[in-house]
This record gives sequence, C-alpha cells and structure tokens, in this order.
Amino acid sequence: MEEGWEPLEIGKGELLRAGEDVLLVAYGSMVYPAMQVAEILKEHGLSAAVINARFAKPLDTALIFPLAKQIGRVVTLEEGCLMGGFGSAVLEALQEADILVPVLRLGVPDVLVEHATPEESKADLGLTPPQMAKTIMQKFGVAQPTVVTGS
Amino acid sequence: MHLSELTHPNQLHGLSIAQLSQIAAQIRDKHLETVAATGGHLGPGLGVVELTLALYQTLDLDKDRVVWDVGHQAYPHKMLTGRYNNFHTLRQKGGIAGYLNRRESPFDHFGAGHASTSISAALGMAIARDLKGEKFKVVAIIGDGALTGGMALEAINHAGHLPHTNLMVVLNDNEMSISPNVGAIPRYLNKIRLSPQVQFIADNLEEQFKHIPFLGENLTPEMQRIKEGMKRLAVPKVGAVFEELGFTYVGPVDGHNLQELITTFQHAHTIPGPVLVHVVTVKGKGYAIAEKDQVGYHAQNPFDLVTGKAKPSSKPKPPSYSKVFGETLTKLAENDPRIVGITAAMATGTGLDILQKRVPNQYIDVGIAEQHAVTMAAGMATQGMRPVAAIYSTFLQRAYDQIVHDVCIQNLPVFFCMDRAGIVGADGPTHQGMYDIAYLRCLPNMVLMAPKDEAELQRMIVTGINYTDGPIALRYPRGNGYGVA
Ligand SMILES: Cc1ncc(C[n+]2csc(CCOP(=O)(O)OP(=O)(O)O)c2C)c(N)n1
Repeated sequence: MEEGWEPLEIGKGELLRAGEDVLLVAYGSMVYPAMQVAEILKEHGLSAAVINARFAKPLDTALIFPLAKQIGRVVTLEEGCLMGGFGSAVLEALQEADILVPVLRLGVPDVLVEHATPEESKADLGLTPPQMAKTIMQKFGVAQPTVVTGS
Repeated sequence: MHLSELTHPNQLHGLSIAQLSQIAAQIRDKHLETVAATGGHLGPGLGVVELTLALYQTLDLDKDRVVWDVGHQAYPHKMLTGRYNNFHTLRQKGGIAGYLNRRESPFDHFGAGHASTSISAALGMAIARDLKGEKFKVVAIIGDGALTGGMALEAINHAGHLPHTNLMVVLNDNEMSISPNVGAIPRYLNKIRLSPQVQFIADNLEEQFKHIPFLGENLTPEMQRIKEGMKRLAVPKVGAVFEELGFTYVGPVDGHNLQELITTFQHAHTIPGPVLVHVVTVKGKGYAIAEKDQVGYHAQNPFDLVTGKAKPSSKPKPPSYSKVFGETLTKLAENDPRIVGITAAMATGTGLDILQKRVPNQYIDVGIAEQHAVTMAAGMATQGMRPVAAIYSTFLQRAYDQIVHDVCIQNLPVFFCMDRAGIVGADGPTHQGMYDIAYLRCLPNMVLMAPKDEAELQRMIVTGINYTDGPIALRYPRGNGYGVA
C-alpha cells in the first residue's frame, strides 16, 4: 500500500499528546485547534492530553475511557451543533459506562450562526483556541490568568 | 430617478421603459462593483435585472407576495427594496445577507438558500389567501436548475390541479444550474426555446370557429371533425407539458426586453388559476466576462472588474479539502470500476469535476436532486457498486428519509462525503454544515468519521471505499487544508 493511502481501522482514534490534568477529545477540524489549546494550557501550567477521535461512531471507547478515568476531566471539541453532536456521543458513552467525570462540551450552541467570516463566527462562539483555553480553565477552576495569549 | 432614491419598489410604478433601463444599468453597476469587492453570487443576479424591474412594475409589493427560489439571484430585488445604500456590506458580518431573510426586510416574503422551495411556499401563501378571503397576487420565481428538484415538481403537481387558485410561477431559464443544467426537463425547455411561437393557434381555435358567422355556437358534425383534426395538427403546442399539468403556459419571453416582459406579466396576471411564465435570460448578462464563463462567475471571490481575475491573495494556499477529495476519489476510481461519484448539481464545488473529466463513465450529476441521489446510490449499492454521494453537509439534510429508509435500514454500503461541514462563513445560517453529526449519529448502522487534516482525508476516503459492511459518512470543512503531505 502506497504511503498515505492506507485505510484506517474503523472506530480507532489516536492519542496525539499525552497529559495529566485534562483530556481533550477532538473531532475533525477541531483537532489542530485542540493541539493549540493544549499549548496554551501548558503555558498556564496545565498538562492536556489530546485525542484525535477520527470516528464519532463507533467511538474509540477503548482509548477514551481509561484516559477519562485516569485524568478525571474531559473536554470535547467539535465544529457542529452541541445538541446530539460529538460531545453528546462522548457524554452518553461515559455515562453508560458509569464513568462520572466532569465533561465540558465545546461546539456550537443552540443559536443561528449568521453570515460572517468563519473566523468571526468562531470568535463570536468562543471557539478560537485562546477562548477555548480560557473556558476550560474557568470550568475546571484552575488559576485564572488575566490575559490568555496564544494564537 | 436614481436607484439610490428608491426606497420602496412601488416607486417603479409608472416609470417609462427609458427610466427603467437607466435603473437597470444602475443595478448592474452596483451589483458588479459590490460583488467584485465582497465576493458573492454574480451571474444569477445580473441575469434577472429586467425580470425583476418588469415584474415589480406590475405588482403592488405592499400586498402582493414574491418568493425567489434559492435567493442567490435576488440582489436586484434587495437593491429595489430599500437596501441599495447598505449594499456594500453584502455577505459581511452584520451586513446584507447573501440570500433572502424574513428578518432582514418586510419585502423578503420567504427566506431561502436551498433550492426548489419557492413554488411550495408560494402555493401555501395562495391557499392561505383564498381561505382568508383576501385578494393579492402570489409569484414564485424559480430557475431552470431549481426546477430539477423534486420539491418543485411536487408543488407543480399540486398547483396544477387547483384551477381556482391563482398562482404565477416565473421560470427564469438561463440553461444553467451552477454547471450546465442536466436532465429531461431542461432538454424539454431547450426544445421550447428553440421552437417558433405557435402557442396561440390551439388556444384560439375554438374561439375562431365560433366567430365564423354562419356557424356560431353550433358546429356541424363535419366542422366538428375538421376542428378536432386541426387541433391535432396544431400540436405540439409550445409548453404543452405544462398545459397538460394544468398550468397556463405563457412564453417564451425575452428576459432582457423590458417592454415585452411588462406586457407579458400584465397579461399573465389576468389569467385565472396557475400560470407559468417562461422567461429566457442570460446568466451574467451585461458583464461579458461572466456571460462567457457562466460556471466560474455563478459566484466569485473578490475580483478585479477589468480583468475578471480573482484578487491575488498574499500567500499561496495549501490545497482545498474539495480538491483533495476530487483528486483522491478520481485516482481510486481509475483503478476500481465499481466506484461511482454522484453529485447533486455541485460538480465544481465538491471537486467531482475532476472525476467528470478523467473518468466520465463513473460520474453522475443528477441535478438539484439530493433525495434521488441518495436512493439511487442505495440502488447501486444493492448491485455491488461503490456509490459515493458527494453532497454538502447542509444539502444532505434534504435527503434525510432516504438515508434512514433506503440506506441505513437496509444497511447498504453507500459512502457519504459531506463537504462544507462546520461553519461555512458568508453563506450564513441556511448553509451552515452544523447538524450532520447529530442527524446521522442516531441512525442504525451508520459509521461517522472526520479527518484532522487533508492527509487524513485521503486515508479516510480509502477507508470509506474499502468499507462494505454498511453506510459510512465522512465530514470535512470548507476551505484549505494545513499543507501536510
Ligand atoms: C438543495 C440545494 N442543493 C444545491 C444548492 C446549490 N445551488 C445554489 S444555486 C444552484 C443552481 C441553481 O440554478 P438555477 O435555479 O437555474 O438558478 P441560476 O443560478 O441559474 O439563476 C445550486 C445547485 C442549493 N442551493 N440547494
């Protein structure tokens, strides 16, 4: 098989970055932003693990569950509606497995997203990496820096 | 009068053809200047400048209702309904929307963005009007591309058997969808456009006979036979298919001749029941570059008005996801005759134009017919083929029951490739690819995947083609990848 043309195993994600304080589980176009978020969190003394989920269904629970249990704080990231979306999938799976850890879901809430550049819309929705890093720190009550930097 | 002084479309009433022509020129200037600066739809609006002016001269927009299909051609409408002075904000945050929106203007009588809805909405308004005992005109303006959508045909099927429900459908026929229009109905429209105008022969036959003095109301048996014979001779009547479907057909009319348009609309308003006015327009009319490259100038990023060339962006960009999709699928299709790429009128947008060029036998454009595309793909899957339905996240919404009923319940291996998943930008709420994860995740047998970058996209396309256990869907965003190999 020519390089770059190998099929993926159905339902298998990948761990892109190891970490201890918070687990970021990202889907599709939110994976690179999640890596940026992890960098920003690191600047603030938080070590984030990042999973590229690859599949929203079937979920790679074999990868997600042990890390969720071990780290104890989960953040999901998706570019889509939150209701019924990827974060919901993770939440449902954790709940069914009785892994009752706090979960923060980042994505698009129940609002219309009007015309604008995608960057403007993401900023309005709090979905730029610095904004998401800030939300994560607020949610998990870790030391609040006054200014969050990073791109 | 200058366009900038028009704050209400009824101010068009009573203007002379010369005055309307001036306003037409002003609309075109503003349209071009704005889209060149902001990006947006170009050819569709330029083609309906005269149509809009003539129609609005024959309507009272304080009472009458107008429903534009898709709404991407409604920039002239926007300029004539109080939005000229703000028009430079087109498609920008907080500015004028690129489609129709009931929240933006009381003259946007029905919102749109997706195709083929206008006749249904207009018929709903007409039925409501009649139930409430009110009096006003309702007009749907639909393109020949949008007419290929099932909904439009469902609405015609319904309206055509309501002879007492007044409804005008204006068919804006420019022979183009985004790409050249496809299918048997467009072929029929083409035949109408090319045939001589003989439509009045059949209509008037009965009347003419009655006016032959010594015959009057009573035809002798021989004359009756002759009459029937002549009726048969008079067919094929122009627009016969629409007439058979219960519409009065009027046209074809030159869509850039104001006088002809006004006279035709005035006449058509007097006809009871459903009426179809067939207007022949030129996409991009008045801007030679857009008339010549009608596919390229359907919509454009900011460009130079003189050369027509896209404004060069500062740095070279990595390839778009669409391009990577088109290239990857084409390579796979070249080595696997079971692969068939299916688009619903989005060849260039999805990147399937690459497949069309290189492996035309394994490429299908079904027209703006997402529902049909999905069930047809399911049919192919039962025969061991590898159908790939390349449909934007937002447009796949239309084929939901087909995904549930024809694909998922039967667990058929159809591969859905959803471009423009996520936040799409200037197209706004009707086009956001926001719901696909939620609407597909709950379906039995469905597998969902999304790549982190364009290299992973390529591997996921291979994955989707290889996976034959059931349906599988791949979502990826608008725009460019990260430049990873
Ligand atoms: C359901 C749906 N599928 C696809 C599209 C994308 N689309 C926008 S305009 C267009 C072509 C419309 O052609 P036509 O109705 O002839 O109008 P024209 O652009 O030629 O004026 C298409 C396919 C859409 N808006 N809605």
